[in-house]
Amino acid sequence: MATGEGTFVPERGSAGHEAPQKKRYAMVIDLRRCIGCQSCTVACKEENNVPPGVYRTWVKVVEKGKYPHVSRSFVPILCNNCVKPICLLNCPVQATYQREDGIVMIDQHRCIGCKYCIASCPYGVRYVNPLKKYVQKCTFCHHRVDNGLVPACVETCIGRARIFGDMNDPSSEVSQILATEPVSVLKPEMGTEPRVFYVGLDLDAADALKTWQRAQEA
Amino acid sequence: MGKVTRRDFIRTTGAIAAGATLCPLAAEPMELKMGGRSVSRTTQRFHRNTYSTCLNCYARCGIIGYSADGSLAKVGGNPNHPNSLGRMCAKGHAAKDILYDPERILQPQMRVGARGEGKWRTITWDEAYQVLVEKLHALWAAKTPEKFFFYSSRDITTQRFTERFVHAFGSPHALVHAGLTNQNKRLAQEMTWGVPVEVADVVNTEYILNFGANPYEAHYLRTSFVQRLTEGRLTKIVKRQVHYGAKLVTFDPRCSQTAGRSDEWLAPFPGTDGLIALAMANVIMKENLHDEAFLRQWTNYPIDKLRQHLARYTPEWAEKESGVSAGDVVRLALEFARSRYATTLSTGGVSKHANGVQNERCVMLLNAVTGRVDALGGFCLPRTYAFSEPKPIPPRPTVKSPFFDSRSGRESTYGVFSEFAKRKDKTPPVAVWFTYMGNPAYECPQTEEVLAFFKDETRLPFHAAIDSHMTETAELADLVLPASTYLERWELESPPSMEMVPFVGLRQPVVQPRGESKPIMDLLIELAEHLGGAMTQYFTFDPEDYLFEQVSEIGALQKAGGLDYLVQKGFWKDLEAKPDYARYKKDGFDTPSGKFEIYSSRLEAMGLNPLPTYEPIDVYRDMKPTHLALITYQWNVHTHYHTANSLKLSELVHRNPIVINRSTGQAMGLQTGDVIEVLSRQGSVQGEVLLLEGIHPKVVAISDNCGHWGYGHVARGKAFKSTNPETVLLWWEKEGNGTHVNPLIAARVDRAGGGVAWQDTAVMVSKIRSKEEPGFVEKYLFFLVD
Repeated sequence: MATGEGTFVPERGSAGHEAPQKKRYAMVIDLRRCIGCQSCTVACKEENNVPPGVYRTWVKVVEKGKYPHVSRSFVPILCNNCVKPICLLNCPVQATYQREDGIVMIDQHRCIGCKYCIASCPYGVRYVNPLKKYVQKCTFCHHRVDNGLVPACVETCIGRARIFGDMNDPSSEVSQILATEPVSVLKPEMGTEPRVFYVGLDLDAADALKTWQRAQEA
Repeated sequence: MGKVTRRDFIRTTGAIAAGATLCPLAAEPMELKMGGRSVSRTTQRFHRNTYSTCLNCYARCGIIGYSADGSLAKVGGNPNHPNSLGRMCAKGHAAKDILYDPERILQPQMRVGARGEGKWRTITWDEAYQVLVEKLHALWAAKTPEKFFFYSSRDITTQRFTERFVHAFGSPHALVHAGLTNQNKRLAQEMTWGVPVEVADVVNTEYILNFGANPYEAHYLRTSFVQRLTEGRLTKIVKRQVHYGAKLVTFDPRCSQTAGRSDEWLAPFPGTDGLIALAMANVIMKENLHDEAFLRQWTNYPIDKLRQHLARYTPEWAEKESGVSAGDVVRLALEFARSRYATTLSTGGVSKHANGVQNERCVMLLNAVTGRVDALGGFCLPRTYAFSEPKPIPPRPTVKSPFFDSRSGRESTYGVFSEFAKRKDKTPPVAVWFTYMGNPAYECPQTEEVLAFFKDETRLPFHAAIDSHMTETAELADLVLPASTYLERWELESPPSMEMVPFVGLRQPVVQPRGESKPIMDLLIELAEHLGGAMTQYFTFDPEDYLFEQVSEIGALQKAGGLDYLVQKGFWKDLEAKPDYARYKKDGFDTPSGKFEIYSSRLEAMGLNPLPTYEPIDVYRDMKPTHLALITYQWNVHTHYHTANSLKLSELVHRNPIVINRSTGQAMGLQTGDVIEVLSRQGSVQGEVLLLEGIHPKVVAISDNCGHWGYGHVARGKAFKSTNPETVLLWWEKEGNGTHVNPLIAARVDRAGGGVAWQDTAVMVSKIRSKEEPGFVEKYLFFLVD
């Protein structure tokens, strides 16, 4: 349900009339609060034992403008845990699956490391673990979520930019932000319905490589 | 007069707002628990919590060590900690990289080959103590205890303890790293209002003039400070009151993370911040927007004379010197003065200059002129607890030291290094040198000379390094003793409170000291016992007694349970205390006049201009058109040199391209990725250039933290096999580990402060070869957009 470029209005649950709804985890990243500190990047690596050279989340730093009118933008990137994950469709051995609460998981015992999912993910957030040789990615720290804790990146976020919760629960903090703030997602044209939303996303920064290449060609 | 009503308005609304605008930072609206627990990914069991205090930088945040089966699984923020509120920076998260670094020194090492050759023999602690005792007894026997020097650096909090040891031994030479870095700021603040540092109440403010500070990347209270800054910048409704988001205006020659996210970024030429501040103060006085009552009652200089003094600092002059337009200076001055709550920020960009003390005082003046001193949302005094020392306290030795610096009232660290670097032939005034968790060979200006001093056995007869790692300095030592890191020690802290209510934090071991490493307190107490003589009377306690003694005079803490309470919670704050502003109204300022000293008697005594003044920097005045000004900066994922051996942090920042403005670079025929040489009077360095839009056209920026030639494999950017399977995966070998900037910087100081002028270097840039590999821009994480 795209309403103009880069804007995405999430589909809302039906206001909680029916009794206990399924959970749908989502993250909102309020970029007005992001300071580009990479605390999430390192916290994630510590929490999930991510080896050097690969990341589950990172913060893209983008400098924009001509001197003296220059600004910087930060865009934290992580698995969008999409509603319609392409990676899931493309996995030949069904190692990738989606939990009821929307978290896209990889069964490490099934994964054969063929990298089809890596090629098909529009966000480039999957990697092959160089030590274990199977594919991994952000799972919203499902082991923490299952034990009643927010993901590690959310816990540590210095500017309190990352907000996590159940978007099917209208009283949750993510639902309230989705209801009151204009949000965007990355690459809405891919039709994946990402569940990581950004407040204040600069579109040039969102796809900086494309913008940069465009500028080089011009 | 407009001014009076505005002040009255602040006074009447301030009281209401005091409760209302304090933003609910610690609230936990998320349905899942924010923190305070950690669970194992494999066993799904919760980890064991140990509450402690970080020391990967000076901010000293509250942390929880999460352990399982006696080993540390992870470190997280302590959500109840009054300053850091459970948040932690990248450096804090890399704690395990430092604790379990396969390259840590875990046994005492004695040099076997020539100094610096890298051949060591593992010895026992008994042998080590024997060597030390022999060397130190010789000094007593020769009646020259002042030839014992002790330099301690990154473990700032133990500096009082090391000073106790050095003084008890009979030497005045307890040197600290701070003497190299922020001394100008500290002295400027002390002579002006009696405390070494300010706490800007950024969460409650509505306007921030930021002179050269970069809190998004580095600040002395980083995580605690910047989370309140981001909170304060958002407009929102708090308890039915509107909190207007603060406007952030940043003056910085480089578009730092802070500048790039500011509402306005202005790029003055380095070292001219003081003039801009003076011009602003001038505008404010002219427009009668000043706080008459504060200036009359709480400063020591008559208003008319101040107005007269400021009159010559016109916005036009500021424009001429700094490049910031006069119109902007006037507009921002008026905005600042007319805001209900406002404050300034200033750090190294302002004070690490030859005119650093004056610059800092000029910025401080802005707060005094507008009455924002220790006010809600303003420029506040730090709230801390003072710790007591066990008696008897060793008296300061009466031996006169040639390095005594009357400005700071102690021996000058900088003076020692620059003097030793120079005197190549004379008999050295040093016989035994200890370095504790410090790396002067890397972190001093004029690296070449300082290195030569440490290598020279005639000038430095004996050098013992107490460190957790084989730093560039430890490599040149005769004896290396394994020190425990901050995760294995007991210590007490009281960093300035961001909530304006002081608190006490405890550092306790989250795991037992690794290998044979010893916490510095244990080491020095044991060494004092071995030394015997007059030393023993000052070290009749064990480390726990010492902590107990330190908090013995804080009554409310004793009532709450003393040390036991701290061990349980990791910190203590007085729950009944409320934030109080305008504290000076009760006790006055801790200055000779009891007032905010616009007219500094200390500067007058030194024969310097006692009023906030702009003094042009001679290096820049004599600069040729082909010269550029060199500035240095810090990364958000590194602290000085000592996080460089962390895989997780060095993976993010392991090299520091030389940043030049794109137009300037293109005019010189440079392209991003070219290898260039940067040449100053002092020395030259080479590195890859990065052309960016976000930097003043006459400035070159090279960061700190990179270009290690020792320390460890990770710091040098070399993959290696170790007990940690990840070290073979180090992927940036080809990219190199960047440029060490210090060889370019001459050891010059501010006359008034005695601190090093790190940011005053004129350099020339020339191309060496064109880029071969795809440059920095094409790589991960960093993009440019036109």
